[in-house]
Amino acid sequence: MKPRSFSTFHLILLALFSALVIVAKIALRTPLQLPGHSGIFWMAIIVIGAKVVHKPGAASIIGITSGLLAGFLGLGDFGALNTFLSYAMVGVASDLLLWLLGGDTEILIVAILVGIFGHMGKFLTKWVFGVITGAPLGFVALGLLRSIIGYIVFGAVGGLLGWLTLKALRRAGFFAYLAEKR
Amino acid sequence: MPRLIPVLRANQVSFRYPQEGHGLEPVSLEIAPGELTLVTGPSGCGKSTLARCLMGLIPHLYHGELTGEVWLNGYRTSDASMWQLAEKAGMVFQNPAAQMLAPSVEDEIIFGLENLGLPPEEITSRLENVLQDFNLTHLRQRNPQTLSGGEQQRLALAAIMARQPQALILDEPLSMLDTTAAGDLIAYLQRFAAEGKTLIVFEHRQEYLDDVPGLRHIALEGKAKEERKVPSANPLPAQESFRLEVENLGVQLGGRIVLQNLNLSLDSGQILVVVGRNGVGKTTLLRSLAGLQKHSGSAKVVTVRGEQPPNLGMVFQNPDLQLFNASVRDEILYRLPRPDMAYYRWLVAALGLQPYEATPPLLLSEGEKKRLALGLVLMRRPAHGVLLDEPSLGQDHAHKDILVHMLRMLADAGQLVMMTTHDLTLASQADRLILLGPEGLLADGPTASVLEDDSAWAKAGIALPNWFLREHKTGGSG
Amino acid sequence: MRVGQTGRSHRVSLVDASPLRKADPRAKLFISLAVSLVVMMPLERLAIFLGLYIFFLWWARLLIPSAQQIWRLKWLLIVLFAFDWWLISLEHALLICTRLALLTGVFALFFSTTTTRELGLALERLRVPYRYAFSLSLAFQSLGLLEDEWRAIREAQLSRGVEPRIFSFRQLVSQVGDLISLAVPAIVLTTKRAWAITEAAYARGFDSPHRTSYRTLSFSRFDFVLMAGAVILIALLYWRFA
Repeated sequence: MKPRSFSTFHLILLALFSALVIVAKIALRTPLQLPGHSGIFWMAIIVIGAKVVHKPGAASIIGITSGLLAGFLGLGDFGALNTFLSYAMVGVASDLLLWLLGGDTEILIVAILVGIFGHMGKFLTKWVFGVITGAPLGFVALGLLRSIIGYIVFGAVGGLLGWLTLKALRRAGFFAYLAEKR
Repeated sequence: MPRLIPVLRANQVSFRYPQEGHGLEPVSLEIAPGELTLVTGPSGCGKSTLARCLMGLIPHLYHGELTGEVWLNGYRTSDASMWQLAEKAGMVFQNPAAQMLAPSVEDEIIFGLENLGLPPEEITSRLENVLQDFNLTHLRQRNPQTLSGGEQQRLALAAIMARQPQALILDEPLSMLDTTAAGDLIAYLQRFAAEGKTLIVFEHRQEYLDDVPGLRHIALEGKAKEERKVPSANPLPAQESFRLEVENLGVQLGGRIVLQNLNLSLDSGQILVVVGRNGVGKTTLLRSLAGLQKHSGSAKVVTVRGEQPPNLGMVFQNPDLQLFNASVRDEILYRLPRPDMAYYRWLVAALGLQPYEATPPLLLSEGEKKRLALGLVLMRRPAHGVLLDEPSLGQDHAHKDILVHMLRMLADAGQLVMMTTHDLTLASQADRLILLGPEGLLADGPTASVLEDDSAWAKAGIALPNWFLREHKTGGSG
Repeated sequence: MRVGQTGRSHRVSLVDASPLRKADPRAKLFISLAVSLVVMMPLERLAIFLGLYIFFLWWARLLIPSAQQIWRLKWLLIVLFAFDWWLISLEHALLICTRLALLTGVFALFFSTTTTRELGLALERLRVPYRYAFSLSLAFQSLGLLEDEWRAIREAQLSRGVEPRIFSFRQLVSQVGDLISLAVPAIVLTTKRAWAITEAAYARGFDSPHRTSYRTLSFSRFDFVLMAGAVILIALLYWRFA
């Protein structure tokens, strides 16, 4: 039998992490309306998922699966296509950067960069969507700069939270628990 | 009788997980077709590991070092594929909710039949049969996650039996069930045994199987963790007595009335136990008293000096909800500005956690984790006492002994201790028993006298099992 | 901002009365994608298309769900319209807003008429390996459970006096450390659940190479008519009026 890139356990784990992304996103509704605030838990889960299932493509699977979930749940204001693509892009962009940086999100700087870059993937999707429909004029007027800063900050904070969580998980014996599972 | 070729044969099988600690010491056993075998042993002796070795999940899904060999119906488990082994034997796991994997009851059963590669007509006929056999027809479109624990365990069994395996391995199938559901499950198992199926039950609640005829009993010894002697001195300062007055307490959850017009007057210095079937609002009652649940009516603490809101610490059923620190010590002392270290040391010893002070919480056994969750609540010294939700669920006797000892010390110091449980043996050690039914309070009084109230238990829908009646009831019809 | 308070996720409501409920999910996916390509047409053709599309939605009983989706964008559309009209032209403003509205609504026709189980089957038919389709449907089923777990974690931490809060943007980084009291238990519980499901699945022969499908999808004439209709319409709009 050909060795599979992802074991069944890994796929199930990534699927549940994707559901966790959605749960965290809904849990984090805030009256402050800062652009991109949901990135805190979102990027944290991607950073954690990429370490727990240490294989290229893990972040993309989380992105695509959570995008499909979000589509069925009707999340996002610009319709299911936009929602799906921006969620998927978060994963793909994170994977791309992980591939360039060597893939270990237990290194603080990697975790934070993945947080920022992955989150910017979502922002770019929304932006490109605007460009295609010819709408960016409006977006510029509505504060492009504020959005970019929001996305970068919350992406970085998400990366930081992911890194801190990984560190806590390591100390709490989580990786020993994981090591016995195929 | 001629000797039958064993369905299952383990030859000096042992297993070590890659990390230090638990595992399985060498075991040999042979199980003949049609036998009903009970495997018991203290927590940590490797029951669960042996069950997984027999099923073949070890070595197929686990890393680690397997020695010896297991033969399942002519296959050596380490050579055959997992799906081949799964056609010969089925396995039911401890946690009923965690093994549900489909969107509906029907799909849960269909999943295993599709994996057998059966044609649609055959799947339909087996599905209908099994739904009927297990009394699941009326639930067929339901989401398995919305069923009760007993129904889920029945469904897990149905999903396996539909595949018609020759042997059935059950890993502590009763430990999360209430008395009535556990009794139901045993009745099914007896029926399969009578039909000539081979059954191996790994279970520490062996009293449920005492009356099963033809039962073969294997006791595993292994190296059980040695439980430390618990200090007997009680350093808790005696507290002035008070009464917790609950008046007209009512709770609605999502439009459904869970509790209504509940009135209780509870004296401090006692262990109180709340018993009732799933869904009668036991946990909701605790949550209301802990201030975690919006409710109508009132709950207040009355002392000679006046009234005040209750300050009760809540210990949750699942300790994994809380544990995130690097060691037992860090977990208990997390964010305490000036901890009383003498009290801390006594607490850790009294909970039997002294050897593990530096151990990461996730590596503790379930019983130790449950005691740790109690410890971190007690370290915060709630003024009036503690509330415990199912503190013994899935645990062995060693854990229960430490727990009851600790709770008794709290009560002796004048605190109020209140817990919910499905475990009648634990319940019988309380001072006062509150029996809840779907319509509300059914009985409330000293434990011994409530246990005698047959009509209340009948209304609660709880059948007191024979082994329990033998031990705890003096008179009555039994 | 209080962290961890939950709303409840709700599925896009399924429009059972729609004739598209009977269509194959693959056909619906195809139509949705085709329509999202059409939005790049110039305004006159887009207007013709829009008229036909509204008629189609009416027939499929999807006019109201699509309108609701667009209604959520009303403020953005109004502002956008005003800006574009003011800065460029009325025609441009109309074009942009029509495109945006169409793109926003188009996948509603897929998501409001397809169950997650059908999506899983469709993915299998599209040669996505069963293990992936299975995990996807598992993700859907787990949403409610994970939400309950999340709420329970927050409550359990609260009851021991740990309440992670982010009060403001400035304290963000300093208080992120507190969030691990939610994140660690969430990851641990989720991982344990994933493992339990893996074992349960293998104990029921999950890795069998002989798997059959009890529930099936089949392309009917209806599906071919739908897809052909979409292709012909779009082709006509592109070439006939070129």
